Amino acid sequence: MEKMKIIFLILAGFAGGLLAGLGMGGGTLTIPILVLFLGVSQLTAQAVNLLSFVPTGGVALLSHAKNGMIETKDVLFLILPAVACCVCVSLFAVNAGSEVLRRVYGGFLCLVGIGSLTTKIIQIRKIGYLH
Amino acid sequence: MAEISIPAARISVAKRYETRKFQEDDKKKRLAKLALYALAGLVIGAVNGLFGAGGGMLAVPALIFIGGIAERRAHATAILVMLPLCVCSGAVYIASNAVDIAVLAPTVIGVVAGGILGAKLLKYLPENLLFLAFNFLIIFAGLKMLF
Repeated sequence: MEKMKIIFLILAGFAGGLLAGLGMGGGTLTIPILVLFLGVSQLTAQAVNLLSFVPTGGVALLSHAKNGMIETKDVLFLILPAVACCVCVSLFAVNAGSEVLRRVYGGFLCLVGIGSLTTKIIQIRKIGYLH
Repeated sequence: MAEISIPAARISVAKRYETRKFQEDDKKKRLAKLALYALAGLVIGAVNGLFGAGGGMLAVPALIFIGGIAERRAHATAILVMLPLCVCSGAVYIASNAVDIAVLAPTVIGVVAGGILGAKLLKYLPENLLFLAFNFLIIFAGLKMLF
């Protein structure tokens, strides 16, 4: 049973990573895969997703930096408030518990999907074609 | 105002005034940009901390529309934004014992492998198909998690 779980987790990670690589919202679908198909708790899934980004993001960042694709002007004003807020909200999240977080995350996904589709429809209407 | 009869001098006074006005306008624009950056940063940080995902989806448009950065550069720079966020919220989760290494290790291996393959496949797949598939999956998963 243990071996099977490990294999399933690798597959789940693979599916999530594949979707991320295809530009589908990064790790946003990894979490539902872990929670819905592998019975992982929401908090653990979120933690795993966050930490999974570190190696992939780190490597990608180095590659982009070598190609000079990273904009550094003023971005500290984006990063520092983000880090401060992130720490506070994470502390809140771990106290809120998996049950609540799962539903909130589900709502978040629905909003993102509907918002994304709506924006696209508006864009098509405005421009008259797809791009 | 004293009449400066030499045309060249008149032009240079006007130029200096315009340059100064441009500088003041630029300063205001820069202030607005930094303020919007900070606001966006708060939202991105909140989303990342609360959901453990999705910060990138907000970071890219923030960089494009507030920072005026080109799309490809914005995607690359978003990683620079997301990395410290993931490290910090990850640290909070670790400290709160939310991380199960037995789940983390295999999943990370899968994610890294999948990410490499996904990035390679990206150019072969039609953009619109990916877009529709993504949104369908997201709404489907969202509804499942909501109820």
